[in-house]
Amino acid sequence: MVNYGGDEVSALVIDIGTSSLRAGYAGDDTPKAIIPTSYGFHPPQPDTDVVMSDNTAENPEQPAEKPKFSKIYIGQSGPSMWRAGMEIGNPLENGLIRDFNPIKPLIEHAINKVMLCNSAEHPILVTEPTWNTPANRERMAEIMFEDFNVPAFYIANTGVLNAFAAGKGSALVIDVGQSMASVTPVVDGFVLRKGLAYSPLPKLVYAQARHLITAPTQHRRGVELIPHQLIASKLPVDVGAMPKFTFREDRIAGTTESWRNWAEAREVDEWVQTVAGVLEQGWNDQQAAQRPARQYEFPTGYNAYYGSDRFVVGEQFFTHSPALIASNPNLPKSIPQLITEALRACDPELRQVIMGNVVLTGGGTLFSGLADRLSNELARTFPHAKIHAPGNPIERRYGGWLGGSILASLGTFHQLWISREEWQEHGKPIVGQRCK
Amino acid sequence: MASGVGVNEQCLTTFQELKLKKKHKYIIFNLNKELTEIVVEKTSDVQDYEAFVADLPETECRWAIYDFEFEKEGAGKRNKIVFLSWSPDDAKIKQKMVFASSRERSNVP
Repeated sequence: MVNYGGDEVSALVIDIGTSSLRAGYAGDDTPKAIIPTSYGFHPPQPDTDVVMSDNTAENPEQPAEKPKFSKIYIGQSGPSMWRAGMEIGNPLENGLIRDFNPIKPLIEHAINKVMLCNSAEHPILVTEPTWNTPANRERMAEIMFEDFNVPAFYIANTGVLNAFAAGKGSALVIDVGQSMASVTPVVDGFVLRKGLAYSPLPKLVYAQARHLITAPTQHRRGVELIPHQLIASKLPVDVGAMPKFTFREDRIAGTTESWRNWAEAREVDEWVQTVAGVLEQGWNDQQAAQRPARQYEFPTGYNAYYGSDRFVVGEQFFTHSPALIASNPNLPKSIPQLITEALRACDPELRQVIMGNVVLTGGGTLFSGLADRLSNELARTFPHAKIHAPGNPIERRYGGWLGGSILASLGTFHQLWISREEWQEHGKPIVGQRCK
Repeated sequence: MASGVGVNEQCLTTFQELKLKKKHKYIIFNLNKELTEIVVEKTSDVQDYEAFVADLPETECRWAIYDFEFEKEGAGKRNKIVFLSWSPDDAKIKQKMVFASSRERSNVP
């Protein structure tokens, strides 16, 4: 009998982030299943029991024993499909899992529906952010062993995995995700916990972008963010002209606020990815004005040119304007502030080593111009700083998953798995002992 | 965290030869094909640093120990044994990963 993952059974790797959940076989170079972490659900009706059993019979996709939702929609056609009365939820808050109820259906969907494999046959490696709580990882182990019946389990730190994936044993890992930006010093394969610095910086950037789009200026009218799911038809219009489009009147009544927020956030995200950028050499009014403006068309058909102000958005990653600081004393720390804070907690000899190995990772670092700007900023204070930023966007976005995939595929890694027998014998404390 | 890769006994003995008997100028270590053990790939007593660099492959990872000799002003010749991790950006991710996660094991001598 196989005790835990022998060489012939490949392990599965699961990496849960705020925007997407990545799952795949260890040893692969891209995750097989990438599904949005946001999910759609219908809140339970008063006569839940009857409705629930009906629903399960019709739609095998949803496990409806959870009392919180009567029906849950996951995956590519989950939140992005419009459904009357559908609410949107996200189990993560600040990069940590806050609500474990939807985690099981999400993982189940990724493994059983997308990858079409049986979780009871594969050891599973899950990743965690450095600021994860012990209670959270124990809960994750419990779900894996009790609900998914995995033969073996391990939980690994994304900072360490990213450093390893870049070929560094010691590194300063800068991870910018959808909701959190973090700087983690890794030394000889271990995280220096006291040097960890993180802040919800990407949320500020998002708020800035949203303000820029929706607030009117003298050149542009403010845009009402209307997702394409609510638009029946549109006509092409000139730049800056009033959009000509018709609403899908039938859908307006059934649209919930949370779905609307989610869809609008997606529109903003799309705009940020297409238009926004950051100046490589620090803020400079003249340079910003010289850059070519970019045109962007919204789902309503309204389109406009965005000139120098598209760089204001990216500037938030590095500096906050004095006006903003005055209006809000609790601003999230910018990337240079995070780096300074992380370095202050390290020994001076270590600073040299880790500044020579800066690893840039996370989907947020693909922001146009961010890597160049960062290397310019660092070069000013640390002449020997060397940034490792994979050019391949897959490697950058799924760095944590990739590291986990390689680690779990090593034959020699098998001695580290927590096997089912060990879990049954020792219970929760073994997670803290084994996964350091 | 470590990958659990082992170290071949020969590594330690070769290192001792370099350190105590000065038999070698440098040693290059590699992983065996199954990625389970660290083994000695090459030893050399060529004094030229360029020859040492030329022995490191461009797209693969290695570790090396080099017996660095230098003149200290007014204090004569000194020797310093240095350990190097060779991890080029062009190496395969898997190899970089295994080498990075096994480094502490190879550091043992």
